[in-house]
Amino acid sequence: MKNIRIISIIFFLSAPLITFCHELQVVVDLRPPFVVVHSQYGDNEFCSYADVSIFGPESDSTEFQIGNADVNGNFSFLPDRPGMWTVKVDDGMGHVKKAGIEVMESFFSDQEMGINSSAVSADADRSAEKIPVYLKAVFGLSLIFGITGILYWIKASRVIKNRERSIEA
Amino acid sequence: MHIADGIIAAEIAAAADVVSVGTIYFLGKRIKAADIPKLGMMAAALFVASLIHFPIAGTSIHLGLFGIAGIILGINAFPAIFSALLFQALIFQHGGILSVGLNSLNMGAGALSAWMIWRMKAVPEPLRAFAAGAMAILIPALLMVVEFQLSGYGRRIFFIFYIYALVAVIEGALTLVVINFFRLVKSPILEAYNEKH
Repeated sequence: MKNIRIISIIFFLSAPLITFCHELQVVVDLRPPFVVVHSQYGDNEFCSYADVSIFGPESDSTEFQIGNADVNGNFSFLPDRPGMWTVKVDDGMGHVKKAGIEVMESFFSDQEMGINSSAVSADADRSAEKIPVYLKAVFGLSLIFGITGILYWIKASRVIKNRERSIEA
Repeated sequence: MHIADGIIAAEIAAAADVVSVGTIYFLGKRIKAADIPKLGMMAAALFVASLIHFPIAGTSIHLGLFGIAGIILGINAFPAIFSALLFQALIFQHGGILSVGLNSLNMGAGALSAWMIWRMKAVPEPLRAFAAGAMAILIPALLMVVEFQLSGYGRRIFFIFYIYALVAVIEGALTLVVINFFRLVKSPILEAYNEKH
């Protein structure tokens, strides 16, 4: 009985990890010679004037560029070499988001040819963002009610056991 | 109001997690079986409240309901707040996993202040309800601003406080409406915890 309770609790606690999602979202468009970073909240509100830091490939501490997003949450920069770039968006209110941007060799050849690359997302787990918010809310509520039920079961079964013991005594 | 991971030093966030878990363990032993469904309902309400957003001055703020949680659950609001914040962090990445403890302590302090205001029986009830709802936002906001300043992070103090002062007014009004509704339907939910403590 005790093992079933432990397994149930572990199951309920581990399930949310499958549907990881973003409150502050960062979407990147590669438009040679520019990289455009767009930041917004989960409810599609723009993250206006957010602090944006850009780090070049293999450069964790020194910023390549720093600045602020515009009123619509947009920020752009010109990368000078291929590799994995990092963008950090911080709204100064406790919401922070880091994302990687893969800049390929072709980005620079596109630039010479004047061809725009197709829009690319910086988020590796972007597929999770497609889950509707209401579905995630329902999922969270079902977890909370499920855990409440388990806790109630544990507490109530203890009360019943104590009563039975006192009756036997 | 949810502090993301990486803003406050990891050691402080971890210490806050330990304190939070310890507090939940202590409170969990005292909670009666009959109170658990109410706790679950409140945790669910707190969880969903974060989805109601207000865009203000280029940022996005949301309801907290910590005042209502404090009035209804008293100090038992803490486990409800912790679980709601944990699931918000896991499912919506609202706040951080490591900073759940710190966020819970901040917002738990707000709920506790609401409960203390609610117990001031000499003050007229509508005023108590509004003040409880408003203070439950202002206290966590104050704690958050202090933590931000100590960490050398964040926008100007006055900007953050201006934002949360607006939320406090909305929360105060909402708490007043909810309390009036409970009185209208003669719900025993308001007296249940206070009678026991």
